[in-house]
Amino acid sequence: MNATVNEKKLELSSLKAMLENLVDGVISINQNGIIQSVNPAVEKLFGYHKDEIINKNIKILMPEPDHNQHDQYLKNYLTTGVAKIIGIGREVTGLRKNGTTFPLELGISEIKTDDESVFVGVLRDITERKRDNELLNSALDSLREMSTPILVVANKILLLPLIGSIDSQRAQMAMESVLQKIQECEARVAIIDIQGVPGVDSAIASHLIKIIKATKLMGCNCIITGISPEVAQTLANLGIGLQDITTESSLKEGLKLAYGLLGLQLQESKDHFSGMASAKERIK
Amino acid sequence: MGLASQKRIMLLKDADVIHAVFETKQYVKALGFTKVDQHMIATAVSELTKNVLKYAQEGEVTLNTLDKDLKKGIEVIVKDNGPGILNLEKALEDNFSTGGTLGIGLPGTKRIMDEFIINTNSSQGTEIKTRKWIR
Repeated sequence: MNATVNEKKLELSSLKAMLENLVDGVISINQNGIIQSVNPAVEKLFGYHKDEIINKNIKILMPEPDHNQHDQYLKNYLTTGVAKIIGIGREVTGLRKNGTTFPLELGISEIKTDDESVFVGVLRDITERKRDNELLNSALDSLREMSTPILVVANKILLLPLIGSIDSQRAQMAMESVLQKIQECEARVAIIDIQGVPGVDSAIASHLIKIIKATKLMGCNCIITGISPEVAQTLANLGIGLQDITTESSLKEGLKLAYGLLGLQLQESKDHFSGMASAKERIK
Repeated sequence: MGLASQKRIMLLKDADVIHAVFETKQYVKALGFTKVDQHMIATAVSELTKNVLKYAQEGEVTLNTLDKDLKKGIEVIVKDNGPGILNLEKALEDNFSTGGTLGIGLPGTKRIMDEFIINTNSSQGTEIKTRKWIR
């Protein structure tokens, strides 16, 4: 008999220790919304001492519109039994003592006794998680923007150097911007350099083929450059034929071909700058 | 003796494919595959893992080291609990796709790798076990 009482005592005190040290806030309310107990994390999260909030309505921890609606939420649940948050969990906003608000993840469970219900809420501050997510998303956005530059390398010649992994979203962006640039510059040749793409599987090849087809429809020739020996062998083994597609091993060869297609000649010269100059000369 | 070191990667989102391909490249490089083979195996993993996300939403890829009769190699197992491949014979033919793509992923992967076994059905999903040996 004594042993079981001791066991129960031990169980209770270890549960208490867990609650005391939990990083998440735990609040219990009765069915009128009155706060019955809170753990220390709640005091930290909201900036109140527990004596300031125990026996108060839980709505003091909520900004509008929940502040005014919470009594109704409770009433609705107790009369209809339809749970909007109990056992589901969702993101809500908390109101601190100093008037500031912060995002919370809230889970609620109901403890039913014979004639009454107690609701226990577990709250987690997700300010940091949300901020990290936003930071990550904006970084990804700017990465996407940076990653599809289109260069006008010469009159009527565009260069699209692709770098990094290509998913369908990036492929779509590249296609849209290259088509727009073709129209703007009345480009006749577009060079797509894929040296910076780490691998070309069938999905990426299919995106490339789509871009090439669309540029052709705009009356623009397309040259793919920068196919490494590994990529070439892998594509051949995969069975992806690039028969109808003009390819050159290097960007240099691609440029030469582009000039050729425009009836121009790119002269090689030991003097880099005079080479550029003579090319310019001929374009005129 | 097989299974010297194992690597498992969960496939839940697009970025997991990039991660799986990167890990595969490191794995086969350490095993001693040639540069071309490294690239081919990584591409095979890219094909198979993209299929998982496209048709089954989620799954898992496992990389194992093979070490048998003085031959070394890699085993790639890609598993999902998706709807299975309805017409396997067709799916292994070139240019057949139910997903609006080139229809080259599965037959192409089969060509790239040395051994290729598919188990698929509508209740248990799809498991593709494929191997390549160091030449």
